[in-house]
Amino acid sequence: MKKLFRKNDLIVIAVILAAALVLLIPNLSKKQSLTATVYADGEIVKIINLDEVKESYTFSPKDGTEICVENGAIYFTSAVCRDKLCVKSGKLYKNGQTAACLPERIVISISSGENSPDMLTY
Amino acid sequence: MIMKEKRNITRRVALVGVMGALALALSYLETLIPAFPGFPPGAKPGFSNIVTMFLASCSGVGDAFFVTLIKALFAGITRGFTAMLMSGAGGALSTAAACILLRSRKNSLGYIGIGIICAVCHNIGQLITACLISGTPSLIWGYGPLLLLFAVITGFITGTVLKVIMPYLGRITDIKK
Repeated sequence: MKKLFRKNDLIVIAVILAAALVLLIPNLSKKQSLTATVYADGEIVKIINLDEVKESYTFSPKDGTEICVENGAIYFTSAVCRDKLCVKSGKLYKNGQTAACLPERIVISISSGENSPDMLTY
Repeated sequence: MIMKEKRNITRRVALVGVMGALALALSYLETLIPAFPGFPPGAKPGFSNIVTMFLASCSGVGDAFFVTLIKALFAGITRGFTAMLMSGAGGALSTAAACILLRSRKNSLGYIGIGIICAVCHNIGQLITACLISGTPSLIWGYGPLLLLFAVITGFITGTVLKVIMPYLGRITDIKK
């Protein structure tokens, strides 16, 4: 009969929490200009410097999917899927945040100026 | 002998059917729980993992994977193809971990440790699938840390529940534990 809790369980918890911290490191770089990158089907379709946005506007990378951009933030406003997880992800406003619409294969991710892409191909 | 053999097969079909239904009911129930503030939307407690972990421990590897398959098909019917891939990938990895850990003779981990590892495997499988579907590997940095943290919490809960219900559920299988 296995026990509910053994000493090795603590090691498991520690290793997983350590792994979570390691994954967090790229997100911790200093706040610089915020850049939102919009991917569709794995390709970059739009790169927006969120600090330079003066007036909020919306655009649709694909039919039915709508993304709103405002100063310092970007978010999905509507989606075609049923669960609307990308809309529920809310406003993205800091480095490392991501919202994904898997059915439409659209991803928004935010990065600070430091780790901007080296090169862009369209 | 033949009678006994038949009885065992019938029993197994009934057990997998009941457990499959239980897993689906639990998957539905957890959609009623509102999203945890601060955690990624779509992160779920994974109560149906308790069912597959129980089958992996007390019934058989095949039974556990069969219920995982039923879960994935159900997700496919109710929430679409993407959800089916996500559920299937996470479920397969998590069930594999449960089978290895719960069926090994070495008792180096308790239920909490096993529950956490299964939850982590489930989330890793889903995260990798999400990266493949969207073609965006950077999801690992965006969602990974939160998903790991969430898996520790949910794995703790599922492992504890499994330990508590094991003596009662164990009675309906042939194997005495």
